[in-house]
Amino acid sequence: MLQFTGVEKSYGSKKVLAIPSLKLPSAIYWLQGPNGSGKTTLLRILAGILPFQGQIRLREISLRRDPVAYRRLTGWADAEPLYPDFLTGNDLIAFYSDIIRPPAGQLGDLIGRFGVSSWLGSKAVTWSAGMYKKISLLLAFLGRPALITLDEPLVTLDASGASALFDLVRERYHLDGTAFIFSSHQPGLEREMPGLRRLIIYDGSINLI
Amino acid sequence: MWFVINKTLVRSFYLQHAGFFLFLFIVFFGIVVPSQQVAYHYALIRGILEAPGFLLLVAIAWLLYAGKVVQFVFRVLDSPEGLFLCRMRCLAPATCYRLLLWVQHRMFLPVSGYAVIIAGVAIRRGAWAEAMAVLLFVAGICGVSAILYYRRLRYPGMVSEWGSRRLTGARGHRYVPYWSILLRFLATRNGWLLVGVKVFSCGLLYLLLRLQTPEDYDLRAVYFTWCMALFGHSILLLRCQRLEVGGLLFYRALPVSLAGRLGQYGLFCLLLLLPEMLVLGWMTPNPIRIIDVLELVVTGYSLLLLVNGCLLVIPLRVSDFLKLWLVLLGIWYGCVLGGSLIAMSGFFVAAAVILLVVGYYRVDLR
Repeated sequence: MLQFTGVEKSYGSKKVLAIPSLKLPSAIYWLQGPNGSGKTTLLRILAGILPFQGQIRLREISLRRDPVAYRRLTGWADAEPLYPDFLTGNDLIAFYSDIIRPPAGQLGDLIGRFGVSSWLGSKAVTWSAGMYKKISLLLAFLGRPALITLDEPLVTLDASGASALFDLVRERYHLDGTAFIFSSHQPGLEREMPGLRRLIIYDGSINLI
Repeated sequence: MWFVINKTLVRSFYLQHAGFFLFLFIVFFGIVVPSQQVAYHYALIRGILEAPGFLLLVAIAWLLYAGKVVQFVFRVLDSPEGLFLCRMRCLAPATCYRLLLWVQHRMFLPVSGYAVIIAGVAIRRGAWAEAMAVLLFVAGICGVSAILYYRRLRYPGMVSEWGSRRLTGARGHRYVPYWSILLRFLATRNGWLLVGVKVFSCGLLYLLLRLQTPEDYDLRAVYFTWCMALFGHSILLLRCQRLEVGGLLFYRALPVSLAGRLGQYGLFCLLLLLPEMLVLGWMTPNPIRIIDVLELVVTGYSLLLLVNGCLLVIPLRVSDFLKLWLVLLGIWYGCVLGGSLIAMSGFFVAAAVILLVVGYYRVDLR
C-alpha cells in the first residue's frame, strides 16, 4: 500500500531520515520514537509538505510524479494545528470541501462525532487548543483518503474527542481499508485499537514491529 | 521590564518594518539631491502650514501610521509569544499607562520628530496656533493609542470584526477560495498598511497623471511612483507569505494542481491591483493613452507575480527580500529607460511560472 524507496531527508548537513526500502501494508500504525527522532518530519513528508530525496508511492501513485493524485489519497493533521485566526470553522470546512468534495452526509457525520457544531461559526482566534485539534482531525478525515497521518492526535483532545477519534479510526480501517500512521507518546493505545502495529523510528531509520 | 518591552515591541516593530521605512526614506530623501534637501523640506513644511488641504493629507497619513503601530502592538499582545506581556496588568494603572505611552512614543518617533520640526518652523514664522495644533494632534494620537493598548491588556481577546464583515459578505455565504483568504488576511490583519499603500499608490498615480499634457507627455515619473507603490504591494505579499508558512501550511497538503494554485495567486495579485486599475481606467483616454495604461497595468502585475513566485519558493528574510527588490528595481529602471517594458513583463511572468512549477514542492518549510 505504502512504499518507500531510497527516502532520505536532511536538515542542512544533518540527516534525519534514511529509509532505503520499506513496504507497509494497509494497517493502523503507531509511530513511536524519542523527541527529535523525525516523527513529525516523516508525517509531513507523507502529507506532501516537506521535500525529500527518493520515492514514496501510495497505492502505486508516486508523490513526486503525480502530486495532486497522491494528495487526493491522503489526509493530514498536524501536532499543533494552526489556522488563520480570522477564519471560522465553517470557512475552513467550506474551503476544504470545495477542494476535496466529500461524499454526501460525511461532513454532518464528522461534525456530530467531534461535537464541534456549536462553535463552527466562531473565529479561530477564540478557539482553545482542543478546538483547533478537533477541527484539524475533522478536516483530515474529509473525503475518502487511503492514508491518514496524524501527528500527536491525542494531545489537547478531551475524552469524548479521543473516543470519537478511536471509533472513526477503527471504522474507517475496517469499512474502507483506510491506513493510519499516527505518532503518540500516550501509553496503552493497544487497548483502544486492537491490532495496532508499531513503527519504531530511531536514529533516522524505521523498523516495523 | 523596560528592556524586555522595548525589545518585544519597539525593536521588533522597527525590524519588521525595515522595508517600509526604507520606502519612506527613499520617498522623502531619495528624490532630491543632497544639497537641496533642507530647502526642499522647508518648502514642504511651509506648504503643509499654509495649505489646509495639504495639512489634512498629512494628518491622515499620520493617522494611518498610528493605525499601523496600533495594529502591530495588538498583534503582539494577542500572539502566544506576547502572552507574557499580560503581566503588565499587575502594575498600577497609572504606571502601566505611562509604560504604554512610552512604548507608543518610541514607535511614533518618526512622526513626532517630523511634527516637532513642523512646529518649530511654525513658531519661527509666528504661527503659534498651527504649531500647537500639530503638537496637540500628535500628543492626542499617542495618548489615545496608549489607552487602546491599556484596554487590550485589560480585556484580552477583543476581535476586530471590521474587515472580515465587509469581505465575507452575507452570513451563510460558503464559497471560500484561496485568494479570498489572502485578501481577508490583508483586510483584517494588515488593514492600515493596505489602506496606506492604496492611498499612496492611487493618490500619486492620479496626481501625476493629472499633470500630463499632450505637449509634455512623459511617463517616467509615473513609472518611478508606480515602482514605489509596487514595493508597498510587495510588503503585503511578504506578509501573506508569512501566513502561508504558518496558518496556511495545510494548503500545501491539499490536492490542488500547480495550475490551480497559479490561478489563485494570479487572481489575488490582480484583485490587489484593482483600485489602481480603476484609477488608471478613469484617466483614459485623456490625459493618459489606453496603450500606456495597459503597459502600466501589465508591468505592475507581472512584477507582483514574480515577487509572489519568489516568496513562495525561496524562504526570504527581510534583508534578502530588500536585496531582491533592489535587483528588480535595477531591471525595472533599465527597462523604463530602454523602452523595453513589455519584454520585461513577459520575462517576469515566465519567471514567476517557472519558479512556481519548479520550486513549489521543493521548498523546505520547517
